[in-house]
Amino acid sequence: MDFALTEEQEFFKKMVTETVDRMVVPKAREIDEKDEFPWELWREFGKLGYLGLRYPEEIGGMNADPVTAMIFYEQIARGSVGFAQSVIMNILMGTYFIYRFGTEEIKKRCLYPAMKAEKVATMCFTEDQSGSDLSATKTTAVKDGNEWVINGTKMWITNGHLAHMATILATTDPKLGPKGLNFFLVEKGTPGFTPGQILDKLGCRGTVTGELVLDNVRVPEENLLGAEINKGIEYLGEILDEVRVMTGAMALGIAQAAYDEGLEYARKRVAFGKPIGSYQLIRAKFADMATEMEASRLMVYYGAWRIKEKLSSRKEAAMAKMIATETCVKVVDEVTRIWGANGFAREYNPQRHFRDARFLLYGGGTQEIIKDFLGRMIIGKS
Amino acid sequence: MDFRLSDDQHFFKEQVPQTLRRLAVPEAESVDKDDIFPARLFEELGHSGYYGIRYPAEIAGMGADCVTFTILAEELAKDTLRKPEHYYR
Repeated sequence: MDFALTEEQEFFKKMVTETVDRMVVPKAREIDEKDEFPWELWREFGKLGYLGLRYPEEIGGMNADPVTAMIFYEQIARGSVGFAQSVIMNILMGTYFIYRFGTEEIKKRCLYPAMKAEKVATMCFTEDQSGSDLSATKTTAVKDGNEWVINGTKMWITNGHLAHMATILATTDPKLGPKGLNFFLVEKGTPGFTPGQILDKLGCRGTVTGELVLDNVRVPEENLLGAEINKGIEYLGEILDEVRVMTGAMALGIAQAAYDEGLEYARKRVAFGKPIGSYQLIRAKFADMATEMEASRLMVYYGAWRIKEKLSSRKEAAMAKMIATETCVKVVDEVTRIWGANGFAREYNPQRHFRDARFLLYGGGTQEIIKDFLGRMIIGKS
Repeated sequence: MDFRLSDDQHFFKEQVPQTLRRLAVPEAESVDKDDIFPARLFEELGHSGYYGIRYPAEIAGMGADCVTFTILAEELAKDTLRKPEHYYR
């Protein structure tokens, strides 16, 4: 048993932490307040190579294993989760199926530029009546000669309006449920592919989230991202656990940022002649927060390690997402209490963490779905 | 990073419950009900060498690390007072 990071991972952690402190932390408030995509920061992260985090060195990636990737996800979310969501979309969900199944021509056009931040990627799963329940997907793909014709409306799309490429989840036959699902690459500018409503979100501001409409969108045969037809759910299984553990890692990042603010405040802020951190009720909050964050961190890295070792990870990934997200929501709440009325003021960071944390309850599968899934896994199907 | 138990730790984790089940059966119910110190069981655990778990092999200890000790603590708490009918589930 060895909980230590490797020397390489330690070095990477130090480097990412420093990058986030220098480049992201100072911009976090502005990103949140303006709710605009930080293009300049985006390009700088591209130059540093982070957008190719998970891909092999031969194609210009960093070849990071899942544990190393979690270090990155945790740190960038500590800086700004709005920015983190956009970056992670390019690194993981928005490009994975292109990397896995795209032709060399498609990769040249989409993947390699996305790894350099020259292009923005997204993945479109959610619709107005489906998200955690993907079998209810209504977007359809019908073969017409050597083209696919796609129709439907996607909602809650991270990077939506900015994305140059979208991996669209669509069914070849709604009656088939999860067994009819496939991924298709649709690029910006394809006739019939248009942006819809942009969402005005409570948190995770700075990342553009919205609706994308597909009205008789025609794409060539090779845009079906899969070796076989109707195997989309199987292919999704290849990254599902990493996406869940990643959501947990982002939760750790937000929790850590809030906790650090809380700690500084508890040591400085004086009430009745003493720093508030010297009172038992405040101290107890730190004992709870620190313990629960550590437990969550262990679970997140345990999940990542299992994925890295190619051990079964479905249960552990769900657990990691669940505990880390609940801990995060609890920590951001406690920190706003420690900050008192100041925690309610836009001038300070705790309210931003408080708002940002909420999204992780739903992203990567709602807590309720994850809990039900875990319970079924443990008790058995009935 | 490696969350696996070593071969030795894994073996120990399997072996401890077996020993405990063999030793603890007669006392399992009475310890709780009668609230009497189970002297026989205490002695037997000593014969099995568990009290020297954290001390070096040179002085007849097991020379086990803290993880291995934690396995013992968990298994002891789990199995010592478990009722016999629950053993073989």
